[in-house]
Amino acid sequence: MRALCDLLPCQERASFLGTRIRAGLLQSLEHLIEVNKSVLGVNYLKGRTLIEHLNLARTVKLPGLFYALNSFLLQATSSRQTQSIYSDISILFEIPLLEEIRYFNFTERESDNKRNELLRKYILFELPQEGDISEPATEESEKTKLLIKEALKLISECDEETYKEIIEFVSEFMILKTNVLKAGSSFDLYGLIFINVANADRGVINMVDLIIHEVSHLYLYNLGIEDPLVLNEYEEKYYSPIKERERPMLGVYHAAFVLTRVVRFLRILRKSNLLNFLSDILEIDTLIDQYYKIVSDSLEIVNSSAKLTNLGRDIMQSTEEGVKS
Amino acid sequence: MEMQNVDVNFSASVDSQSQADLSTDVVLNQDLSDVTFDPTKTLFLKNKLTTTSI
Repeated sequence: MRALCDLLPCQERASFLGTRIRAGLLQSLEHLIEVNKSVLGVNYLKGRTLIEHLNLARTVKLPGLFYALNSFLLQATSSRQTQSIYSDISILFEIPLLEEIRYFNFTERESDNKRNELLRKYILFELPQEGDISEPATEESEKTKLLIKEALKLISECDEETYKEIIEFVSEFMILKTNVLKAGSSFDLYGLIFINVANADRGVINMVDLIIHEVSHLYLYNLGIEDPLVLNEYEEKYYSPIKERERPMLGVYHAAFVLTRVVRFLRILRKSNLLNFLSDILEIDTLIDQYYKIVSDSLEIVNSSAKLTNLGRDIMQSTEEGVKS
Repeated sequence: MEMQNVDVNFSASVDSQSQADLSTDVVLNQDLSDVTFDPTKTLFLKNKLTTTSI
């Protein structure tokens, strides 16, 4: 198994980390259900039974909203939001459990209100206040879904370890409509990648880029439950070459790592015989040049101003070696 | 593929224990003043930046 600091994807490591975070989530939910026993009523027993079941059904992928509910319960328990705990725990029983990756649309039915409140809270984190998400049109979302599947097929044909890591880490692709992002991921929605339906017209290389990018974020989020990686205060802001605005150091750090992984994959794809169109080759060349520059600038900022843990430093070393190779 | 059998089995086991249901009023009158959680048993990120998007 590759070391945790190694830039290169590894199915065995991803499986280990996926099992660890899954067990950590179930333990956490079980504990939060137990400490809130007095306010949960019948949902106390339902919750305990569900966790017991999921501890045995190890191949079942946990939906991103389970992580959101865990984060919400932590905060609600601390701030004693009795009513919210009582009502929102029901989210646990409303989400389908899966053995394979689930593709679904963000929907705005009244019955989705509680879930959407959590989705909005975590998706729109750090984004401008006027930003919002909404339900995509069916035709466009179907096109996006097909494009995601086409991208996954191309990734699997190009680099097996990258593909297997994706399968280990991703539980859901949620398609949404928004004017503030192309795609994203969150520790609070771990395993769920949200993708803007506007990508439907951007082609497969763009989708490959987005998927590798977001799964690399998930990798760092996974490590972040044991090791903060970056010790700079959240309130300290630094110029982010990818966002072209000020961000916490962890944002600059993440960008260096994820874009190096994208560059690495695109270099392999560029050398393969899997590309049929000159336009795809040209798009890859442009992306590699663009990301190489952003990574170089980001590494300069990290090297000059970041306070890193030992693992955080080793990951950056592997990143620097990876982008230069 | 959705795990329909998971939902079915799960519902069946819960139904048998559902006699302990409480009314909303009763539940909302409970207070959490004695509720604390053990951070070593909970899952959270050791950093405040929890979402990233492009």
